Amino acid sequence: MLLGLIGSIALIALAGCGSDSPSLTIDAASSLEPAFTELIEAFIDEPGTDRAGLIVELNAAGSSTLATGIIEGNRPDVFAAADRDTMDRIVDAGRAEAPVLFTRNRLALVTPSDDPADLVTADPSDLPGQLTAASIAQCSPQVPCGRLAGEAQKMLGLQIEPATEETNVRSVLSKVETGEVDAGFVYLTDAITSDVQIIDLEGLDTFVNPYLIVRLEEAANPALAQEFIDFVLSMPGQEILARWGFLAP
Amino acid sequence: MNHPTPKTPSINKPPRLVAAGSTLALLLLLLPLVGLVERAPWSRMWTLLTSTSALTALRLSLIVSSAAIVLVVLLGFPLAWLLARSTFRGQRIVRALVLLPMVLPPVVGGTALLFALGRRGFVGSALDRWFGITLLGTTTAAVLAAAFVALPFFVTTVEAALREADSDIEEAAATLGASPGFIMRRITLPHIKGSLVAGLALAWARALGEFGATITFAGNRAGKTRTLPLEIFLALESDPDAAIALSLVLVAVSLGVLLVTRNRWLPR
Repeated sequence: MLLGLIGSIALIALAGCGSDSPSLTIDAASSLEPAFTELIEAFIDEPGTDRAGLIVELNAAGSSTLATGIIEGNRPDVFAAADRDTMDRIVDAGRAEAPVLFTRNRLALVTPSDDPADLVTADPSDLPGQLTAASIAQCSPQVPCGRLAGEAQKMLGLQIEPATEETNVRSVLSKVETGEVDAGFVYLTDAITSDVQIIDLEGLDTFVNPYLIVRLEEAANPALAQEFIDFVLSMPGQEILARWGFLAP
Repeated sequence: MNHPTPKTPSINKPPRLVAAGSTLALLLLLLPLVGLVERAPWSRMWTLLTSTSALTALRLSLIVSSAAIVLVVLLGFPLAWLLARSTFRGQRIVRALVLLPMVLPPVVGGTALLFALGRRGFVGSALDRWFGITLLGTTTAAVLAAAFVALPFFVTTVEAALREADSDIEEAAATLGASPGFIMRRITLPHIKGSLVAGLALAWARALGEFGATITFAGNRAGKTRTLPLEIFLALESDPDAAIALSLVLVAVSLGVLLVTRNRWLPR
């Protein structure tokens, strides 16, 4: 019984150590999840390479959550963050060097498909006032999408007290999609890929987050990690990102 | 009787496998706590615990858990009474329903609350339409979420006590002309006092630690729904030291609850 237990623990531990086939672990900001899923498939099938059997694991979560995990000892091969501050934490902690800008993402204000507070059709001059009265979801200031939304509100002179501050942009989107809020600050890529309406708020599209990617110092598979980053920066990689609404770096 | 004397296991010397298994079990329970204490930023502790965001979350947690407990007692006591002292059709189903939040993942509870009381839920949409009430980002929602997960702890503890309490004395008092209210105040409640306190403490601790249902249903809003567990979750994003400091506060509180209810859990 106990031997069986110890045996199964050992098995679980062994399973975590990987098998013979090469593998790559990628930590990416949650806004990258759909695009990176496609990118990874294209990377495995890239013409002129033999990557059949390559196992790529994608961990998509809030950039800050991932960064904390890496600083606390997680060992992915590649990390892609949704802003520079978060990437700086990794570099400052000595976990990686020289991250590369690989794409950018615009801030967008979206409403549920039925626009309960009539924000899409609002007169541009009334919009700021209506937004003050509306219930709004956004990311918390600790995470990239929240920093960007806060900056935009400050620069555009919007008075917004959010109904909820989520720890990643996907949660904000879910609050909008389920109709729990009148509107939410997300990225343009999230707006494009889900069933929401975009509010045309003047000046909002000038707020853009740079996305950086880096190979971790302790990558288990540094050569493959670099190949993946090169692929993301390559023409086919950039085309996939563009298709999901990301801006050229 | 000529049965062979059963071999009595020596209490002083447990079998080797038992010793090994229980040591591993204790390690599993103890290691995470050691991890917290080992990484604790003792020198910055006071600063971290008295930061504006920590104090806001602490205060909110006290408000939310206390309000949830009031709700739990007001609704839970009659329910415990009903389950313990009467029989009715479907009683087993009701009892299972009471236990459900105990075994349900809190995030499932939160999702269920969201689709019932959320703005598009069948109750929530009526609240919004008729009264203009939406619960997301309100302390009311956080209290409801906490009460939802805490209620079973109080109901089951008090129900068991009411069931065990001797109803002969109550009947005797009733025969002698005591009113139901008098019997409740002077006989039943004093009798089950210990279990009441234990049920309260357990339910309060559960309410204080509530995370999944709150973040799913009530949202994450400073001063309104961001209780200690949500603050810890958020602090992990940017300041793990603050998360550790606040976690230790909750560990201390949990140990305190164990002490209060020690007669229940720690037989001497």
